[in-house]
Amino acid sequence: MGWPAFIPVTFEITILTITVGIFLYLLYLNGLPLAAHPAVLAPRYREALVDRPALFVYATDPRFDPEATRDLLRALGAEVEEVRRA
Amino acid sequence: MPERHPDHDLIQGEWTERSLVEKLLEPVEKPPPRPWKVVAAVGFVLTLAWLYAIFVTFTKGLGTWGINQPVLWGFDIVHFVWWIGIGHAGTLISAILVLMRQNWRDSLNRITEAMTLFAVLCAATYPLIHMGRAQHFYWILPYPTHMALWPQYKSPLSWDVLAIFTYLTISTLFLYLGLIPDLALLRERSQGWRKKLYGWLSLGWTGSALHWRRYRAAYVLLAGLATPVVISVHSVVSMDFAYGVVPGWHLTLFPPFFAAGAIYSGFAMALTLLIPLRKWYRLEGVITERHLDWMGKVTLASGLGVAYTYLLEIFIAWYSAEPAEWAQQLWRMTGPYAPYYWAMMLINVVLLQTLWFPRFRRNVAWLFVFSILANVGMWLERFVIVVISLSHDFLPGNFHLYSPTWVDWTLFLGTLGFFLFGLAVLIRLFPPSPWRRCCTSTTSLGSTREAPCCTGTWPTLTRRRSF
Amino acid sequence: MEAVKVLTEEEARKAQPKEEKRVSFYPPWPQGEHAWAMTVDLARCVGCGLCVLACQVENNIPVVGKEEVGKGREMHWIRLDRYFAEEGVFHQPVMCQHCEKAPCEAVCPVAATEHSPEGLNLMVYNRCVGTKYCSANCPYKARRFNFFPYAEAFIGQGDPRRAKESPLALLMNPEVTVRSRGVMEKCTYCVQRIELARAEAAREGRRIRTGEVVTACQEVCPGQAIHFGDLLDPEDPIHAHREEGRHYVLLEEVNTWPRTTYLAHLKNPNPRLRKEGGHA
Repeated sequence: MGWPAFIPVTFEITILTITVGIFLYLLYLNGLPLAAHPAVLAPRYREALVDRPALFVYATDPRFDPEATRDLLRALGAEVEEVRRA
Repeated sequence: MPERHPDHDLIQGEWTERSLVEKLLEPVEKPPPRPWKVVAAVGFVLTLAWLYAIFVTFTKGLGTWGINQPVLWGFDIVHFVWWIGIGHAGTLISAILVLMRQNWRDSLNRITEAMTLFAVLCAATYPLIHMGRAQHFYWILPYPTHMALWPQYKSPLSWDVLAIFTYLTISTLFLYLGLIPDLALLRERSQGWRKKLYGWLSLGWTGSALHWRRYRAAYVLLAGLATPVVISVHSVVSMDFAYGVVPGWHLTLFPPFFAAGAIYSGFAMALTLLIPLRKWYRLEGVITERHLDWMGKVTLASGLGVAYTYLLEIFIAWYSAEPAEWAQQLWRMTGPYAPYYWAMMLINVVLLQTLWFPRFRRNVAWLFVFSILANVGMWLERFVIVVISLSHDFLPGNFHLYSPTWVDWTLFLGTLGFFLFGLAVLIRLFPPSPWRRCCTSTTSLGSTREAPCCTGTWPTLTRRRSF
Repeated sequence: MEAVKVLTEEEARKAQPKEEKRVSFYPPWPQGEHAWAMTVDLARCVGCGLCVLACQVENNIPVVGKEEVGKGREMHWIRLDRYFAEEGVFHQPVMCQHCEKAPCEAVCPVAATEHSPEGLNLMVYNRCVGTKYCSANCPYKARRFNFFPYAEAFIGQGDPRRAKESPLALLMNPEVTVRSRGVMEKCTYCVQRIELARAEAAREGRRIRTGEVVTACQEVCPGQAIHFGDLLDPEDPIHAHREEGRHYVLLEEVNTWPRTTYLAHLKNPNPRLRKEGGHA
């Protein structure tokens, strides 16, 4: 007979768990927290955070090849200054 | 190649993305202006006074407050409701305005979210210290005990605990989620302990486009979930009163009335903070007069809901033909507390109407004065509801007036100080307005509006889980 | 709301007890062996305040002093309301009404105030955290709050820390808990006396006799205005009280279904006296 009294609490706990869940799931999907990332070491990384586009190519990519990828990017008009080995 | 800022229609002046970032990071990276020092110092001193008043309360007992037999809830609950109300603008701006695609909230959401966080923290202290045996506060939480004792979920107070806890958590998450990209930039730009702090707090955010895409989705989902919470929190607080039998409390109108009052007082407090802030930090280009005008309109709309309820309360007290209700209404209007009641009516019903006129609403000085008055008006409203109702209930033998002591006043001024001090510290650590504006709002909903700032960074060639 | 009603003799004789409109969404409480109830005959009450005093002695109610009383923090579980009317001064002792649908029980977040199957509104001192919501929601304001460590300060002669070593502790009734700072308290219907009677009856292998439980206020009332009884005992005179034409419930409109009820003050003044001396 007293069930309506439980509506507010059920509602609040539902929202609370979903919200915290979404937040944690976002972190999980993005692989955060992350202690270090090689991209951060790029010389003009700071600008990339604000308004410059930047491209990060992972060496684990099956089609990655240091020479070929550099040539591809050069052909597209980019300046490749250094290739870092992490 | 300076490009106009994508939000140029919402901000004033010639900004590029880069120049805006420099501007917005100024409060964090440059030495603070003089008013900041004054506010922080006053806030700090009042915070210490607050801690002392709490110490006195805990060591000597609740008798050091002004509460008495009929008025068992005095300044504590008045200020609890007042602060919770103020804490509503932040999440309203972050959540509801996101869903409504009101892009102008981007200039305001950070500072109002911070305001929300501290207002809710201030509010949450009152129910804790107003308990007779605060050392047992955790008995209100649902935790398993060997005696199988649980909170009593018919009581609105136990709903309150969860509503406020949920609200506090969600507003903190909102503030934090919005801060993460800013923290990453600050991490790259700062040295020493600050770099460490921002490094830890930014969780290693890199700014990858894929991250941004998920981030925006999560932000909108949080906004959708936070919207009902904003409405529910003050509704649940209002049930503390509406659930009771006390004349002046027992009104089904209370939940929407309290929600409107919360938005009203939250926007008023936001205006009180933003108007000096934009001047001290020269943020007039970001928080423009158009923003203030929009906020004035929201204040007016929610204030009208409050004013309507005041008038309806009088009508219902008469129409219910319930002698105690009507006596309570007359006591408010003609009793010893009548000046409080009429001051409340003057501010929240009469002076509010000035906001209809662009001449007043667009006058920053008047808007500032009115926002302070509205805070006072909402304080008076809570005083009317809590104290005046309790001081005059059913049997004349119970009637007793209430007069607060120095402890009550110190607790109030102390939370004000803590609020200001907290905000001052936050502004020194985190930029007052998010620099990556459009990313958190409408573009994620598939708006037609172009959002170059969100699409330009870090397209990745791989589909790995995390990068 | 009328404080005084003038009736002709005819009307007074025919008067029926006021019918209570009992409305509730909730099922009734499970019924125990007894259903304790109290009636207070206001015509017999002279307003002497002995009930207040007896209650204080019986239930270890601390003396809080003039200053606290001035602030509205008296601790007496019985309050003697006075109404001043043309017809004279009317007294009404108001204590916890032990409502069957008690507003205080619904609002306690930790379930520190509960209903017993025998109709008592119980106060669990060691569960109380002192939110004071119960008292705010009590239409009779029959609850009392320990704003300070009143009892310890009283026993320790002003210093609550010395309460344990003070011989004044011997002054206390050992059957009743001495309440600490920050908890709510109120009239218990002298639950310790009920339990004593129950224990004695159990030892002798019988039911509690009619009128065996006498509350402290009832015992001391010189006008015998207060009667405590069992609604499930057909012999109990409380039934006669409740069927009288003067019987009414305080604040019936709040729908609390109190177990403590009142018999209205009935006066039949000599008309010649009234002409001469006013209401003296």
